[in-house]
Amino acid sequence: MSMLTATSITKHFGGLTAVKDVSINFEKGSITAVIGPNGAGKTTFFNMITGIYSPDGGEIHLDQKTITGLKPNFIAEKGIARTFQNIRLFKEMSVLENVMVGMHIHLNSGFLGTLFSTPKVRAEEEQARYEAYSLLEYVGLADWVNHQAKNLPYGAQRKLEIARALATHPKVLLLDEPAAGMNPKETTELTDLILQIRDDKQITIILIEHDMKLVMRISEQIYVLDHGQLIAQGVPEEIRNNPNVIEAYLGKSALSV
Amino acid sequence: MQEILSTLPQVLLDGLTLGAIYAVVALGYTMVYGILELINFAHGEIFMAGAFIGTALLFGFVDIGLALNWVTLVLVLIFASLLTGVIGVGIERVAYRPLRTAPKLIPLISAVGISFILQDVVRFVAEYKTGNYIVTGQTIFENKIAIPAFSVGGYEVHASAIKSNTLIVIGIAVLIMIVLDIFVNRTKWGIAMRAVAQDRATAALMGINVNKVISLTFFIGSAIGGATGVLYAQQYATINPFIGFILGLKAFTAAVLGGIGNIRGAMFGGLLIGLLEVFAAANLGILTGGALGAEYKDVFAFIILILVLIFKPAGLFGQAVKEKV
Amino acid sequence: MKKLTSLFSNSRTFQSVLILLIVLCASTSLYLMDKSVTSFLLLLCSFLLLYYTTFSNWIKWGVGALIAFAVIPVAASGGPSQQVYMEVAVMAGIYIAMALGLNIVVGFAGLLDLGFVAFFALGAYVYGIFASPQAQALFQNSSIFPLGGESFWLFIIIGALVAALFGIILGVPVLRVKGDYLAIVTLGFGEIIRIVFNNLDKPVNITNGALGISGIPQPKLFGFTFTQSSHIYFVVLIVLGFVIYAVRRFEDSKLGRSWKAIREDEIASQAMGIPLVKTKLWAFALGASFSGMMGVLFAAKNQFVDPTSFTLLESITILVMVILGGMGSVPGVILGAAIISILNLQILTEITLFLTQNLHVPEVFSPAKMQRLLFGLVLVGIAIYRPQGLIPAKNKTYKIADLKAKLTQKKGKSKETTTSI
Ligand SMILES: Nc1ncnc2c1ncn2[C@@H]1O[C@H](COP(=O)(O)OP(=O)(O)O)[C@@H](O)[C@H]1O
Ligand SMILES: [Mg+2]
Repeated sequence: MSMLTATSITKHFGGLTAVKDVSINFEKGSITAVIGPNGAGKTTFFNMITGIYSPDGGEIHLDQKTITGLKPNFIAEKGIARTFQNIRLFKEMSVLENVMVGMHIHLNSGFLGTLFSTPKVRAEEEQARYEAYSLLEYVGLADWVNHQAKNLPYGAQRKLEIARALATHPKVLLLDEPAAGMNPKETTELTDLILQIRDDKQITIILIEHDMKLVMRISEQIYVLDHGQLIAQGVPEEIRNNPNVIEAYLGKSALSV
Repeated sequence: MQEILSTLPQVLLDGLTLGAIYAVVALGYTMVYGILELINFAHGEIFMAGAFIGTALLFGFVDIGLALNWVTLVLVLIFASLLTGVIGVGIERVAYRPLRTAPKLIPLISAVGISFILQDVVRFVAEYKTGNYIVTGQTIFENKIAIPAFSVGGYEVHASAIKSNTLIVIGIAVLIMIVLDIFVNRTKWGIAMRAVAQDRATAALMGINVNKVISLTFFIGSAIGGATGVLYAQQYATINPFIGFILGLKAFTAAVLGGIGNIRGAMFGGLLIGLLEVFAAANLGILTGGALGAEYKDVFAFIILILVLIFKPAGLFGQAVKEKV
Repeated sequence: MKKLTSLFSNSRTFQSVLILLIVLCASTSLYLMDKSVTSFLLLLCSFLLLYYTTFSNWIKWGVGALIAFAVIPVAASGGPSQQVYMEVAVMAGIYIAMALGLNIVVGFAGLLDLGFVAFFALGAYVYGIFASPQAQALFQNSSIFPLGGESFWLFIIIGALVAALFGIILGVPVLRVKGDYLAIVTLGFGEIIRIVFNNLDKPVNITNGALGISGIPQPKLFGFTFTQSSHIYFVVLIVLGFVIYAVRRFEDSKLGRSWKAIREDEIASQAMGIPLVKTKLWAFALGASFSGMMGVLFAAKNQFVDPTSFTLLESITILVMVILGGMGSVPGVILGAAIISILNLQILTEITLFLTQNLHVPEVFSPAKMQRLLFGLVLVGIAIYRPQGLIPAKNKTYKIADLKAKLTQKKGKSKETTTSI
């Protein structure tokens, strides 16, 4: 069953067409990779799905319902969460609070309830704290609860972004270069984490990644973008041997050598 | 209608003069914003400082017995703009440069602080020297050129008059704008400035000395702001340390109207705001049947600002740019 | 010095003795001497010291309340000239509450508001107009006006609501624009409100223009009229207590976290489901409402309002309090507001008096006139050298052991009920 579909979506920036007529269908509970050289339009593709940019053409459906052009906060409510290529944590806030912000849409405390600190609000806050902590434990950051997010090591910051995204209880999780800047050990941990998330929570995962070892190991489907266009798609084996893909990454000359 | 039309020539002339002043001050805001994405709150105060420096110089010239003519005016303009230019560069060095990587709120706060410091320093000096912070200076060109009354299509148009100084203000303002336009578009340094504005990191990689370019931007912006201050003092004679604040706000409005960062847009925005303001001051009473008067002219300018920001935040000619994620 | 601070932080006995000593010395000397700025300041310093003690929050608040409600009023009742101190304390209280309001906007939500005094003005004028004979002139054929001093209590709430409403009216269009434009728009708004109040004496006389509104009644309760600063002082304390309580509640709530998230990163916040404009509006409205409340108090205390009390300088003064104390830090902002208002109202005037009368320094050198310079230097200095302010904001810390214990307990339970997170 399809969870998320993009139907010929397009985005222009002035004269540049960053994404052109791209259609992809993501199956429920699958792990899919979107790859391509720098500037191919991968992040722009994510930005359209999450509502940060609205597409200039085409449609996006989540669970058969259209989400095209909705504001990012509504799309988050509908069940799409993401991480960012250039980490966007709430730097001055604590690690736990970062995750608690992710719970925003599931908290119901109102103005008066907060002001008078009603038992209901207190219980909800307490519940949120524990859930946030359990998510931190889940991604392996339980020891960092009270640190400021900006003081975390790089790899840990990426994991925190994942925990924060999970806190929204997403149906679809978009990871934009989650392994960038990680050492091999961290990358292996991350690979396991992604698989575990899918298995534990039945979340549909889409990732952009340059680490081909990771991509080949966990993706069920791979889509390749180049200059905004979809140039190939298939299972890892097919992509590995696709001449178009090799050309996109290495240039024409690479083939003749 | 008759009433509005009859005063129109005077309104247009006054509006053009004020607009020319706004336009040149707006250039300073727009240049700095273009390059640093910072609202340089102190720019209005640089303008004000220019007015005071010019006035002080003229008093000095009178003291040593120099005749006041166009030579003295040129001397004063050059000296005042050099001095304000240096002040501008100094402000950037001390109050903005250390904050380039800080969260955006911090340099704004620093800018507000600098603007208050300048106001008070000038107030202190003026009060110390003259006993009062409101100063009426020497005007060089006082004679008036009269435009006789005439009638068009049955409408009576009142006589109007321009101070010869008005022509000088408009002339010099236009000259500044033309020279700046040529500088930015045709010279090596001007192109470097635009490069830094567009992408600081890449410009640095191309071997442009970014700090030098930013200093230069502040020097030019402040120098022409200061020169405009001199012209303002000539035109309106009476100045005080707080003229820069409201005027700066309106000039900033002009810069936003023309599309912030856009030099030609700022010139256009300045003229438009000037004309609108003078028109409003002259005619608000008539248009609202006496309910609102000229005292609402500043309100009028702010409402324009708010409307522009809501409906055309990128200015009249600009295109909205989205932050890269 | 280091020894002393370590002694202070390690020994509660030492802390108690020190505070007791200071409070005793300061209050007796304040009581006995006709006028003693030093002992007044020393007395106020005891609050700061109290903040740095290691006692539990309940004790700190209790002792603080005792000093504020009992010690200070008694100590400052030694003679008629000491009403001055009560006056200063009242104004400091008003400024602290406003600074806490602005702190929500600037410190928590990261929105630079340079026209904050507009909301203060709104509160002051709302009470001023309806409770004074001004309303009678306005609604000539109505017999319920003027409302009089009994209505003051209701107007504290009305003032808050009106200010919040204007915050929203201004915010709805303006909060959509880019962050740094907000500074200039609010600056304009502050000026507009002042100009409008300055000119609304025609076509209908609503605000009495530049002359201002006089004859505003003092608060009345059960036939008792709050005539003296020392009476108003208690009203201010109670309102301020409420404001501090409210800010504390919101700081660590869903809303407070959304404010801070927006301050840190708007795009990431939106991606977490936080609606930008709505969240900013809450900050704007709540901050404004504190200011509006204090405006009502200000009008009632002075029995007079005119537009000159609501200039840009006032807005910047409140901003300086927040920046100096520490953006986003409640204790910091309280300290910053206390320092600046006492500096403004007491110290600068004292120094000026001393210089001009005793040393015959020309008036142009008087420090009371150099507020702008002083504030400017504070703003630039803090921005460059200590952007986090005097008492930097701290994140709430959570006890990891508690979280862990509760979690394992929960996990045990969830195995039975099979609900998992
Ligand atoms: N907000 C924007 N404004 C202008 N150009 C943009 C913007 N965002 C992305 N681009 C351009 O679109 C193209 C694709 O960018 P991106 O989607 O980030 O690529 P990728 O993630 O595949 O490396 C690039 O040329 C980039 O410069
Ligand atoms: Mg990318």
